Amino acid sequence: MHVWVSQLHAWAPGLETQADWQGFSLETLPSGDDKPAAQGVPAMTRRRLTRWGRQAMEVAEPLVPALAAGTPVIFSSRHGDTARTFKLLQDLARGEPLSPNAFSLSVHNSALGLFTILKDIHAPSLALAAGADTLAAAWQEACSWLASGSESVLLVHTDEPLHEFYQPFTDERDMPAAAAMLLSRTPQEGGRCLSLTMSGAQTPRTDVSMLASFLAGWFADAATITYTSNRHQWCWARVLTDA
Amino acid sequence: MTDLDHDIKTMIIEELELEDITIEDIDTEAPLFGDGLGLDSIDALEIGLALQKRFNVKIDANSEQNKEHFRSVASLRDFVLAQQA
Repeated sequence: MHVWVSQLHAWAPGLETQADWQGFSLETLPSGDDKPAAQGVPAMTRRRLTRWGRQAMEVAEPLVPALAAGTPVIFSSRHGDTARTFKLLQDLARGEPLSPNAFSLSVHNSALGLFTILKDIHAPSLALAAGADTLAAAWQEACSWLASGSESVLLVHTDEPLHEFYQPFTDERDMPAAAAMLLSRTPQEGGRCLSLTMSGAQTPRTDVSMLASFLAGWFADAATITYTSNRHQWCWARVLTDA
Repeated sequence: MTDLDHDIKTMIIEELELEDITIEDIDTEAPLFGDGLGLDSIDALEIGLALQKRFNVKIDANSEQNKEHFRSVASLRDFVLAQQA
């Protein structure tokens, strides 16, 4: 399916502007504890968000004015907010009461829920996780909305590396980062047309996360962006159109 | 401001992760919820939990008086003192 990406905003520590992203390289991924300002979120709500949620808000905010009523919203994340989950599990294991705030925001759709409340969005919304294939799965979910009649879909993906305790289970290089994009089924001025296809994994798996791979290809304006997980090989191909 | 007021304000700032708010910003007598500091019901639960942890205060979840105890830093201080007595 041909999908037009009319806007894309991304954030990672040290990578905030388009110019910053032009210099993004998969050789050295950003790390560190920097958090985005997330100015679009009222301070009393922002204080409750970890970076995982803040960066999702940061990238989604600039797309809000472009959202037509009824635009479906998809939030995706491979691991979710494991630092928050780990702390809650630790408290449970010690028999200590759980923080009501941490508990209320510990579900996978917490950032999505806050976003739709803050922006007064009543459209269908969905939070998704699909292992290493998550970003592509979210893209496919968006395609199914577009194919069934939606003009556009807001896709927000946010990744936070696994908490230290779970690091032995890390199977690829990843980075704290988020990206938001507005996907449409009809040509958009200034938009980029991409088509995602999937096949069986025939090459060794990609050693860097799907989001990092996608953003590197996007900002390099690559003709194709490929990512291979244990099961699938994904390829976003740039479609040349007259639009 | 008593030491206990100070400790309660520190607890509120730390537990509720109030960015940009200092101890001086919290008026001992001002309402914590609604108009004053603008805290909400999740904050009330968080404060209740913190009081148990830090001051070993027991809170009866069904007590009608909770609203009065949680009105301000001053009322929380009186509540803690009464429990510790």
